[in-house]
Order: sequence, then structure tokens, then C-alpha cells
Amino acid sequence: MGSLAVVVLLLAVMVLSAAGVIARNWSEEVGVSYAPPKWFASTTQDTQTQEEQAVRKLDDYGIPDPIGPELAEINARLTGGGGPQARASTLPLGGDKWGRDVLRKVLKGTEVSLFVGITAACLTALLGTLFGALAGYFGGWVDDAFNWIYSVFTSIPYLLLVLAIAAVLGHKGIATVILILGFTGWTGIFRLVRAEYLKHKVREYVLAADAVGASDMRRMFVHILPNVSHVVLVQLSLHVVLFIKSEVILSFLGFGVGVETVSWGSMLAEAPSELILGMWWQIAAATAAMALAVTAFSLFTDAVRDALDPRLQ
Amino acid sequence: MSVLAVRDLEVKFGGFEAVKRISFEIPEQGTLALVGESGSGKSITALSIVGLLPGNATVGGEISFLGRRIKPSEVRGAQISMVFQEPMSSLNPVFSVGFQIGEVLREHRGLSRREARARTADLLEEVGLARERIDAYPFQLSGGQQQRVMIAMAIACEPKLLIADEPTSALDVTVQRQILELIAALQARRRMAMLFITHDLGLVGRVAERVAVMRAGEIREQGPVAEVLAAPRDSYTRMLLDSRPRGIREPAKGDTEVIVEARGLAKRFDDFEAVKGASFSLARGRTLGLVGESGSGKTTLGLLLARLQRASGGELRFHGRDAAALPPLEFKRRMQIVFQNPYASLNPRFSVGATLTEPLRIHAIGGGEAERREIAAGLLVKVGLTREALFKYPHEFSGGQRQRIAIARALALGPEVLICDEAVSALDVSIQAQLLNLLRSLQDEYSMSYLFISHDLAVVKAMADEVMVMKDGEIVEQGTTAELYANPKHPYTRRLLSAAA
Repeated sequence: MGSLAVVVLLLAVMVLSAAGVIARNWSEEVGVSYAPPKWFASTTQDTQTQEEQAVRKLDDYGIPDPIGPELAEINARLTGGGGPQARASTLPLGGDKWGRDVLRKVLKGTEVSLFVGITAACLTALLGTLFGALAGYFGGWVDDAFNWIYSVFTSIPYLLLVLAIAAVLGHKGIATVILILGFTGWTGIFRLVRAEYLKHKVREYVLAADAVGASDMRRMFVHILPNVSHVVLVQLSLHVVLFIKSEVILSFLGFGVGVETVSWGSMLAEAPSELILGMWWQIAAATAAMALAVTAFSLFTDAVRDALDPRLQ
Repeated sequence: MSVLAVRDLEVKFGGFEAVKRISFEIPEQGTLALVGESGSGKSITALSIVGLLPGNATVGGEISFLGRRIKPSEVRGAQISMVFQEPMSSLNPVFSVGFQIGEVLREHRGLSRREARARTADLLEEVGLARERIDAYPFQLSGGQQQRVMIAMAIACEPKLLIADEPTSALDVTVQRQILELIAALQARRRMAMLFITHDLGLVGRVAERVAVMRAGEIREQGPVAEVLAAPRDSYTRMLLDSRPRGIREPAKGDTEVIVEARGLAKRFDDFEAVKGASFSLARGRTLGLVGESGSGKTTLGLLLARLQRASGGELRFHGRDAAALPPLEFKRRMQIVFQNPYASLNPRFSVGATLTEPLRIHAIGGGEAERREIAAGLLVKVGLTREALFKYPHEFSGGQRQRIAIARALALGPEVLICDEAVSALDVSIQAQLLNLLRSLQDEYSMSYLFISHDLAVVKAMADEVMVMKDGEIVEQGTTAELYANPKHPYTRRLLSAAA
């Protein structure tokens, strides 16, 4: 039940964020650079202010800025005469290098990461189940053909394959990431579903369906599929998790989402340089969100599997 | 002094009483047969004697072995040993049989590897296997040979008491007989007492002096075998005895039209010939019995007849026309099949209503969904269930009820021919009798023809007008039931009949 609530909450965040209700202005620079989290700043006020002063000193080299007044005037005119916005010194979950709110970034990142993870996992499950069902059920040359494709896909090193598809698709963005993950990820599900179909197609209930005249398609998808769906569901949740992580890798390598958007992956990609400076809150926020989502999804799929099985009711 | 004395034994799993205060004794070198249907608590009784009950069981009462009271958690492998029903799943497939028998000797007797090996070879010889079999793996042995290995393992430590839990139920009749003879010989030679657990009252007279009949955790009746079998005092024992199929089917009068005719029907899997040229014919309202041991090809022949597998040779004629020329759907409407395992033949994800309306929908029988539902409800009533069953799922029913549902599904299309592939073999004998009666009355009502496949000679004798005997893919003998049972010609038929007698 708890996992259901968390999953619903995450999906709500995803939808609201996509609809622009929350975290629309995630890219606004609302705080000072590396603004610490509020509660953290209050307990370690002294060290923080010292660090900030140290940063300022480095900034102005002790020389008065010759074009300072002019620059301030231009800035004021560009922002509509309101003068430079007051930047907050602390933010709920801290800020990043440009002073963007980590909380908003996490919310926006939830939208992107979950969308990529869920859509790519669904695409994968669809391809894997369809291919696996055809290969396992019909056997013979159909099975040979799919096994050949399977072997080709699994024989190429994963990252190389991903990069090759990324290069072919060219365009950088969420849709590309989903297609890359979908086209490379189906092999595992294919193998499992094929094995399940091999096992089930000779079961007596399938023979009995054949005896009453059920067509091949009906036997494959109405009779057998519900009986192997637990395998697909478990794989689906595992792949959501896997693809959230893969998106991180792709974004880190520069093949993922672009700079105009944010995901947990791109947040984590900023982490190495921050950690050296002791700014841990961005990676902490992104990791916590990811851990929550991954755990919730795993528990949720377990519950779905149990709920769909009439034997356990 | 008795070897084993059980007094007021009680086994509970949570609130469920599996065994309710039962008492019995086994004298030295004596044999007690514990008889009961599935779920009667007979295996639980055996497990509580050897201390192998699962951890969630609570045990009450007293078990004394050789005059000494034993604790329920004590595992007693050296003095009491056990032979189980399924030799295939009781043996570890990755170790040789010699290693597995030797392990018992090394563990309990502290023998060295070399000594254990020599002793193992002797044991194999004693149970009727060649000494060279010591290095064989379980998959290289037949079911009967595997059971011999299990027996060798059980007697390795010279136990005082042997518990045999359905040791022959998974075996063919001819093998069954050999194993029973082996057990009896070993028991006499080694002066063991035995607790023989079985569901088959027919075996009891052959192996035991005393019998205890169990039902729902209670012993309903116990006494000397001859007395109990001849004059049962308990109503349940009487019912069990009456349920055993007996008698012979009344010969049908007159000739009816031939519906199915097979000529040289054959099936080959790669280089294995499962069915070698079977020829027979089946007339309206008649039952053709098909008897054979496991692996004889009788199920494959049934599937060929239903055209669920493509024949690799021969011809199947339906009403005088080539069956292959008929539209597949029409053929299937007129030819239905009931499978052996009621747990596997119903889709667990389909409600009973969905299972029964599916054939109607596929064949466009009935005006709409509501009408089909009515037809399905009528079928359920016909096979002895209520219409409430429509909304339930298969797992909510017992084995016998599920088989009724499977029969209802086959009836839905109003077939002319019904193939019963071991349709009652997985069921308890009392349920079996009910289903055989149901099948008979349905046959009279719809004048259906049955191909009745079974390994059980008594069932076939009671059901069939004509009988075919199959061995290694070949029909070795066929004839009318009366003729074949009274006067078997083929040596294999003779062996089968004498083993089952």
C-alpha cells in the first residue's frame, strides 16, 4: 500500500511537472551559487559564511571594477528596471552552481527520468514480449530468425550499440533516449518470455484451447500471456529502474537529454566537481529521489503481480 | 513387543487438524497398510514417525519405537527408513546412484569410501540391479529401476522399520508387481516391520496382514486384512470397496454406423516412432478402450485422433471422408478431448464461465453473451455442479470438480466423439466412480463415441466395448472386451492382465 502511494505520488509529480503546474521555472537562478539547504545552513552558519567570503575574495582580485556601474545599469535595463533580483542565501534543498533551486530541479528531473524510464521500459516489454511470444510459440524458422537477431544484438558491446544508435538517430533529446533504450533493451525480456512460451505451449490447458478451436493468436495472447505476465511485469519494473540508470549514463556521456532540460542523470553528472568542493546536497537529493522511485516501483510491481493472480486472492 | 506403537497421535497445522488422535501398532516383522484417499493424513502420519514434519506443525500424542518413546523432532534415518512415491524427484539427478547409496553408509555407518562402494554393489544386487549400475545416473534408469535404488538406499542401514509411502503408485502395473515382490522378499529376509501407505485397496491384500483405513485425519476402521476386506464394518470402507471399478461392460447389441476410422496412423518424432501404424474404427455410441503402460504412445495416438498433432503417416477418416479435408473448426466441434490432469487442463486465469463460453463464442453458438452464459450454466448442472461455479476460478475446486468442468467444456460443442485421455486416473477412487458414472450416462444421453485411454485395466474393462493394447507404439492386440480379458492372445497382454490381477 505504501509503495502504491509513493508510485502515485511520483506519477502525480510527473504529470503536474509536465503540465507546468510545478517546477516550471526550475531554470531560474533564484539563489546564490551553491546556496546551502536551509536547515543545514543554520547549523553551520560560520563555516558557510567564511567559505562564501573566500569565494567573493577570489572573485574581485581586490581591484575596483572599471565598468561596474555601467554593467549594473545595463543589467537593470534588461531585467525591466527592477534592479538585480535579490538572491536567496539559502534554499530548501540547496542550490547548484548557478544558484538554481535543487528542489525544483529534482521535481523537474522526476518528470524527465520517470518518463524516460517508464516509456522505454514499456517499449522494451512490448518488443520483448511480442518477439518472445512469436519465437517461443511457433518455434521452427520463426524461432531461428528471432534467435539470430537476438544473438546479433547481444554480441555487440552494450555501450557501443547505444552510441551507434545514438549517432544514427543524430537528434539529441528525450525521444532519442527512449528509442535507444527501447531498441537495445528488449533482449532480456525476449529470452525469458520465449522460454515461458516454450513451456506453456505444450501445457494441457493450451491443448484444450486448441481442441475447442481457439486460433493461434487467441492461444498466444488470451490464454498464455496472462499466465506468463508475471514475468513481463517483474521485468518491466526492473527495466524502469535499469533505464533510469541508463539515462544517467547516457546524459553523463553527452548522448542523453540536452542542457535545456534536467534529469536525475544530468544532476548526478554535475556531482563530481561539486563533491570536491563539499557541496553534497544536489547528489543527495537526486540519489534520494532515485532510491525512493526504484524501491517503490519494485514493491509496486510485486503487488501488481500478486493482485493479478487469481490463485492468491 | 511391537516395533512401532503410535498412541493418540495428533498433528495440527495452525487451526487445521491433519491427524486426529490416531493409534496403531506394528508387530515385529509385521506389515500394516494405511489406506486413504488424498488429504486423509496418511503421509503426514508417516512423516511424524520419521520426524520430518514441517516446522509449523504441532504434534501431540506418543510414538514408541522398540519400546522407547521418541520425540517428534528426532530424525531417525538409521533405524526407520522411508521409500517415497516419486523415485525421480527423490533421487538427486547430478550424483550417481552409487554415490547416493554410499552416502547413507558413510554418514550412518562411518564406512570409508572403498567399503561403502563394495557394500553398495552388494545392495544393488540384492534389489535386483546389476552391480555395474553403481556408476549410473538416475536419468539412465527406468522408473522401476530408480525405485529399486531408493529401496537399496532405504535398507542400507538395516532398519527395523520400513515406511513405504505409495512406493508403486507412479509405476506401471507390470513394474509395480515386481517392486511389490521385491519389497516382500526383502522384508522376509531382513526381518523388517513395514508401514505400507497406499490409496489402492487392491494392493492391501497382497502386502499386509493388518489394514487401517484413514479418512480426514481419523482411522475409521482397523483390523486383519481379510476381515476388513470381506466384511467392512465402517460405511466409508464399504464405500471405498464399492467404488473400485469392477465387472465388465454389457456387450452392446446391434451394429451402429462407423464414425471414425484410422488406417495405419503413425507419428514419428525425429528418429523416434511414437505410434507405428495404428488401425481401428469407432462406432456411434460405443467405447473403444486403449490400454498401455507409460511411454507406449497411447496419449500421442489420442492427440493424433483429435488432430492436435499432425500424423506423419496413415489416414484418418471421419464419416467415411478424409478428416483432413474437413474444415478444422468443424472437425473440432465434433471431436473433443478430456485430459488427464484436471489441475493443468483448465486455464487458471479464466473463470469457469469464461472457460465454458469460449468454445461457444469461437463456434458462434448461442445468440449473445447472455444466452451463452445460460448454456454454460446448463452444462454445469449437467455434470453435477451448480451455476454459481460460473463466477469462480479453477483453483477453488477440487480435482474431481475440475474434471467435471473439463468434461462440461468438451460437451459444450455437442461432439460426436469424446477422447478421454486418462480422464479419471488422477482422481481418488470414490471420485473416480462418480465420474465414470457421469461419463456413462452422458454417453447414453448423447450417444457419443468414446476413445477411453487408460493404464488401469479394471477401469477399461468396466467402460469399453472393445479394447486395444498398445506397447512401444504398436497395437499388439485388439478385440471385444469380454474376449480379450478372458482369452488374451499376445504375451504382453497376458503379462499385463496377470500383473493387475
